[in-house]
Amino acid sequence: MISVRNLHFAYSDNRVIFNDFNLEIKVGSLFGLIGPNGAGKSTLISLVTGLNSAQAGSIQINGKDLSLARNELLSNLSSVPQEYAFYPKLTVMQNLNFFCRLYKSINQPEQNIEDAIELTGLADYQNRAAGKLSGGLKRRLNLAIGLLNKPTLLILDEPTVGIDPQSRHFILSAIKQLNNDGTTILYTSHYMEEIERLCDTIAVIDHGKIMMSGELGNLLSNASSFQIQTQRPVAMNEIDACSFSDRININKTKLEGELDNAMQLNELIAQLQQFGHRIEEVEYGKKSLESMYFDLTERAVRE
Amino acid sequence: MINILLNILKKEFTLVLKDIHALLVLFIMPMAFILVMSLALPDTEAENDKDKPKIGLIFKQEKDSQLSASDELTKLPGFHTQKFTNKNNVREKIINDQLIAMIVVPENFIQLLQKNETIENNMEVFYSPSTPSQLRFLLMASIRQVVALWQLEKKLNEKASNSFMQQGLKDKFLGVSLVSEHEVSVAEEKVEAKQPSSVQQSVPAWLIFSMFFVVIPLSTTFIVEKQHGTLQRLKTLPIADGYFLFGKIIPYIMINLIQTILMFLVGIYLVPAAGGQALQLSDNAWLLIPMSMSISLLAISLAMLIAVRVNTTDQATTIGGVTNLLLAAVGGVMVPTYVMPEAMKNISGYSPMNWGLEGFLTVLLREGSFADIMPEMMKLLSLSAICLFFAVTSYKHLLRD
Repeated sequence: MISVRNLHFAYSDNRVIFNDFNLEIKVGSLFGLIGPNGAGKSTLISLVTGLNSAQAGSIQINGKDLSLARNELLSNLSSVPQEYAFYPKLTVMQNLNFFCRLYKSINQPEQNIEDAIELTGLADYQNRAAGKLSGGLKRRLNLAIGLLNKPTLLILDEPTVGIDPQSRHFILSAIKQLNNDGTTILYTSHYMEEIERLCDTIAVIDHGKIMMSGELGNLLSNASSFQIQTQRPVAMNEIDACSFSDRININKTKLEGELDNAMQLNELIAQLQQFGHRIEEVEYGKKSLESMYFDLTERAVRE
Repeated sequence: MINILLNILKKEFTLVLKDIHALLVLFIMPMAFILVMSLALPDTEAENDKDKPKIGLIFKQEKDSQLSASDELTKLPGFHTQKFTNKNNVREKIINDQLIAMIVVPENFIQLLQKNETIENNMEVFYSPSTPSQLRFLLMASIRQVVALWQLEKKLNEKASNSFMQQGLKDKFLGVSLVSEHEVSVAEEKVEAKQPSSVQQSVPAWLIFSMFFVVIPLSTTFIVEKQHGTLQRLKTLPIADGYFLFGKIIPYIMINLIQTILMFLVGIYLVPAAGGQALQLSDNAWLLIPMSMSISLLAISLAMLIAVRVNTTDQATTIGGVTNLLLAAVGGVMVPTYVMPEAMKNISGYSPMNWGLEGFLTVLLREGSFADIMPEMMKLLSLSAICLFFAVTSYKHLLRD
């Protein structure tokens, strides 16, 4: 669906954001793009939506180069920005009408508007001024505008920022439904639980580079890690009896590594106790996305 | 394509209509200024009229003063005539040197004269002892001409079949076509420009001032679009940049044209209804449209440049408002250039509002042609192109960063 190859982009003040950047997003996927502020997420979105042009490299959507077939490709994609990108003084319906009628490709604007209203649950608010809607309803209107052209690729930039749990649940359900109906979605968010709940594929980017990418299920299942803290240092020969000892790292009183199952953890603890070690702390289980994210991007607060 | 443009125009109009402050500034403010200033500014003609020798006019029968023929007496050339009902009041004013003479029209005088019936009482003229003989002679000549005119009209009504013929015969009898007036022109001497009346000054001046205030709705909409990410969203739609550019320019040109029509209507109808002098338009009035569009393009380009360069609506309102006030103060909007000292007149020539005002006055006052307003139009359009160039360049820079 989206193929970004050898991308190079720098702003006019010579800040280089991407240098030889590559990314693939498959058709029908719900792709989570995560990274700290300043990582390059918004710039990548601006490049994919044609708002900015790369100095080198290519962006292909459905096999067509964005720089060569911009208008054709933009007719089938839609971007929902983080801000409330509509006119607060116009009503919900006036906003939807305005944005819908900017597409030459839409033959039945009334039908598309009706579908967008239905999916986002805005039927009761059509005549209300957009600026007077609650935060949750504004987010829904923002999303509805993005659905007017029935895009095959939908780009959502933090669509649930600052809203109540009910509205968030509503929006996430709508996004899931769109994806089930075949829309490819590029989703960015700082809420890791949202990414875990929604996305099938993710990429973690930082400083314009991909730190990790792949199917979310695989990334998380490969991360059944453990950590044991003992009172006194452990010697390597003390755990030789365990068949999986080659997967364990020992750093004085701290043992860590990845295990196949909990039985192996029990075996290891029994072995350590046999040598008179007192176990002070044990951590075991799948790593959360958040934990992986922090490992990759460091915990220091960004601008 | 047209549908997309119409859609953008509809949106811009809806936003302006919902902006009550913009409507007040664009339409109500200039209307109020035109009304107040047209009535407050001293009229050159009226001022001249005040300098004329004053005479009192008394109709012994009120009915006579209502006849259209009586207008000829109230508008005696070279004199400022005031109607009175009480002869003693007039006498007092003559004694106090407030009037130089009094004309007393006896009962049914005009009617009897027009019916060619016997007139028993003559029209009487009473002079102040201090009235010079030249003025007495001039007044008598004027009165005799009016009486002759009444008699002539009576004859013509009997002989000529239509008003066209009557006018022709009247001109012939009065010798209008035999005498023509000319002023001696001296080539080396600078001829003083004709001064506009208060309404001729006020209508174009305050119209131009209000046209430049499109900066408020235009920048408010643009800054909201910029701050809310709407601009970015619009840029990700599969339509050319030209739509957005024309989508901004066309609605405000239309708003400026509506302002033009409305303000001229105020000058033509509302100002006289309020007691001022009516604005007169001649055959070249269509030139007000290209002139107005040139001013409009500059006002919009300047507004776009300000809107792109600033970050908040407060900044836009302050910068736009102060810029307009300065251009108006210098450009002869607030203080007419003809009352400015020579040095200020020269400075005023650098204000685009002055270019617009001069263009309008060329049409209204000097009955100028298209070629006559071209220099002003070219100046306005050139500056507009410069502002637009910088606005578009800044806009592209803004989207990129």
